[in-house]
This record gives sequence, C-alpha cells and structure tokens, in this order.
Amino acid sequence: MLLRLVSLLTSLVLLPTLSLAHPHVFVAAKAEILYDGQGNVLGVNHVWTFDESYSAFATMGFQKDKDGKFDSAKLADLAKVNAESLGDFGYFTDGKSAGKKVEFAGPQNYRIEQNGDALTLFLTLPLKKPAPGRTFSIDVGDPTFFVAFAFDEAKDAVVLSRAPEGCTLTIRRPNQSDLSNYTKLSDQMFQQLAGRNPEVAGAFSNRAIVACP
Amino acid sequence: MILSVLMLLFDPALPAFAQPQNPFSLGGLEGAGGRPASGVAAWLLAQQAEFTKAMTAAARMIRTDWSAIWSLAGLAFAYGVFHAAGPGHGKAIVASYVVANENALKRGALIAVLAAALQGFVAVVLVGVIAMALSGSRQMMTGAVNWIETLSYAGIAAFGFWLLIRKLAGLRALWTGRSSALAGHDHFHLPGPDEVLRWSMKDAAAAIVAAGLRPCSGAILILVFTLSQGVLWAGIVAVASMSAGTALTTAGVAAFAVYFKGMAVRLAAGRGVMALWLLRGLEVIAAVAVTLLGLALLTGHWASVGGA
Repeated sequence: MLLRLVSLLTSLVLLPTLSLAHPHVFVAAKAEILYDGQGNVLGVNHVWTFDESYSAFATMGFQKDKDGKFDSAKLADLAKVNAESLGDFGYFTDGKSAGKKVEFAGPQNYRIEQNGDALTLFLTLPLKKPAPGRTFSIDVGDPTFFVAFAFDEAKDAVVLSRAPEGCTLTIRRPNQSDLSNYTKLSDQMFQQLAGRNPEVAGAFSNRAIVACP
Repeated sequence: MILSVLMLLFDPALPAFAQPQNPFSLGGLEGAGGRPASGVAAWLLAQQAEFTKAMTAAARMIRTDWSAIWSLAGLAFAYGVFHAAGPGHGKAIVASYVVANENALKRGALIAVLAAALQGFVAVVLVGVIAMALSGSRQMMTGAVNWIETLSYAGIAAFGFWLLIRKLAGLRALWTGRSSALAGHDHFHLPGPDEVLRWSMKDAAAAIVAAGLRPCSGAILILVFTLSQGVLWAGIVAVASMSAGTALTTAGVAAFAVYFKGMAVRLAAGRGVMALWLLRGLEVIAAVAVTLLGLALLTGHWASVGGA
C-alpha cells in the first residue's frame, strides 16, 4: 500500500512533464500537386496562411504605409528566412509515391503576401527527382506540434496541376470525430509515460491522396 | 521509483539534443520535442485552435465595441486553464516543490498563483518594452525570450539542486539517527513560527521565480496582436485573465501533490523507520527530478539556441 502510494506520488511529480500538444501558431494550408503531364509528380506548391496573432508577431517593428501595407522588402526577407529554415523540419511535408517516401529539394519561388492582418507564405517544393504519380500522397504537418497545420476549409484546398485524366483526389483533414477511437485514455497515458509514441498518423494529420488510372 | 526516474531521463517530452529552432518559433524550446497529438492531447489541441481564433476575433472587435473585453477576458481565462495543461507553466516545479516540502494546501496554491502571475507580468513587461517602447523586431523579441529561458532553466536546475542538498541532509540526519531528524525538519512536528517564515519566504520565492520566470508564448502573442490593433490595454486584461486560468490549473496540481503527500505521511506515521526512509527518499526523488528537468531543459536549450 505504502509502495503504491509512493509510486503514485512519484508519477505525480513526473506527470506534469508529459508533453501535451502545445501549438501556438496556426496555419491554414493549401497545396497544389504538380504533375509533368506524363503522369509523374514534379513537386508541390504550398500556400500557408498564418493566424493573425502570429502574423502580428512576425511583422513586429515593420512599418506600415498609409494603406496599412508592410514594406515589401521586409516581407521578402521574412519569406527568405522562413523558407531557408524549413529544411530542418522536413519542410513540414511528407510525400509518398506508391507508398515509398520521396525526397524534396529546397524551397523555390517563395514569397509572403499580406492579406489584411494575416500573412500568407507561398513556396514551391520540388522533388529531388520526378516520381511516378499513379498513387501519390502528401502529408502536411509539424511533428513537434508547435505549428498546427490544417488544410483550408475551401473545396480547392488541394488541387492537381497537369495530372492525367481521371485522377481522383481525397483530402483528409484533422478530424475530431477520430477522437472517439481513443477510448483507452489511461493506456495512452502510460504509453506516453513510458516514452512510446502511440500511432503517429493520428487524428491530426492532413493528408491528400491522389489515385490515377 | 527507480523506474520512474529512468522514465524521466528518457522521457521524450524533454527536448531532443541539438534540435534546431522551429522556423516559426517565438524563441527557445517551447513546443519543440512535443509528440503527436493523440487522445486527450488531440482534444486539447482542437480546443486551443478554437480559443486562439475566438480570442483574435474578440480582440479585433474591441476596437469598435469595447464591451467585447468581457468575452476576450472569459476566453483568455479558459485558454489559461486548458493551456496550462500543456508542458511548461511550472507545474512540474510547483508539484515537486510541494512533494519535497510542503504540507500546507494554502501555501502550495499561493505559490502556484504567484508563479502564474509572474509569468503574465514578464510577458507584459517584455511586450511593453520591446514591442512598444523600442518598436523592436521579432528577432529582438525572440532573443529576449531565449535569454530569459536560459535564465529560467538554470534557475530550475539550481532550485532543484538546492532542494536536493537539503533533502540529502535530511536523509543523512536520518541515517546518523540524530533525534533532530525526527523533530527538527520532520513533518510530524510543527515547526515554530520563525522557522516557517524563514523557510517559506526563501523557498517559496525560489519556487515562484523558477516556475514563473519564463513567459508564456500564448500571452506574448495576444499582447503583440492587441498592440498591433492599437488596443494593448485589452491584451493586458486578457493576460491577467489568462494567468488566473493558469493559476487554477497549477494550483490544482499543487493541491493534488499536497493531498497525496499528506496521505503518504499519514501512512508512514504508523510504520516505523522504513516508512520514514521511503518518505525521505521520495522527497529526494522530487528534488532530483527538478534538477534533472532543469539540466535537460538547459542543455537542450543551448543546443537549440546556440546554433541558431
């Protein structure tokens, strides 16, 4: 009994160190999967719109003109810094061709546009080499959950460019109803305490899956 | 118990070494080293996204309708309660401090409240000085937050080490069998008013600073946003309200710790020296846990910031 209490107390000390998801930046993502017209995928165009709080933070100290627009040179600098540091985080993008992981090269054509109080980052992420696009999928997300990505609500959140006729596109957004799958919360808790990651592709992955004939 | 300590050592919640800083970082480690959302965490994530959206909308409305301050304050309070369930916010320090020291619910809760208030205060000062007075850039803010984080992690490690030395002294006293071990610093014995005051002032102040020095990114974000909207006062109200929410959660953790510690003490009371050893051992473990947490945060922080 005493031992049980003691171990309970010890877990109590450790429990707060459990890392629960802790996002501070929210991104509404759009993507365009780029085909070469021959059925191969060349890369992805990302359009990431940041929430207004983060946008205000990122533009701290930027001067606004009388129309409320930021200096475009400053925004270009910001886009450069953001794009260049994405590599450390796998560009927040996983791509799979026929179930096999594909490699992305560094971002190109990056720029930031200001829309009201929100910033939108545009960038092209080319594949290192073109990959067969018959079954192709991308996952967009931050594995550290500092940034919470979610595909935009709009119908055209993910589109295909120059894809073969008859390709179907399925978009899977973070889905709260998936939470009902997690009935054994205490199991989860213990798994987390023991440092074992439960299912990575959980309720919060943003996935676009293309299947071509 | 040993298993638990090992778990802490290998807990992936602790920052991975040499982890680069997130490109959209607000400074330091916060959020890095987290893990995929699942279960309760996933639910909290969804709540936070909603809260953030709603708070931004309320803050924007204040420009035209100041009565939106009520919904902003209410949202910020709820955000504080939920948000504090995430890592950071000094829960580990407050809980460990309580397990290592405290039997009084009131004092445990007071420490939690003051730590949360300090967190809010630091955020307001940072944004007031850097963003408003200096019209500083995000790099300046990130730099300042990094600097404060280093300080705060070093503080946590130092605080843990200090607790550890004191608790080891208690163990040693128990070993040498001096009667003072069973009377002087014992929890069955009520220390005199002078002693209470001396320990509580110093210890509590150290715990509050260690737990509350690092400002919450959520608070900085709402302050910077309200400043950009020209309603910084509303941001300050929101942060005060957020701190109250954080205090509630942290105080809850402290209350739990007090309750279980009290139970362990009562159980130990009738069970002789062995039980007393276990109890003292527990206090030492709590102190070790805080020290390790501080050191792990500090080394991870250096690895992350040093390169960036």
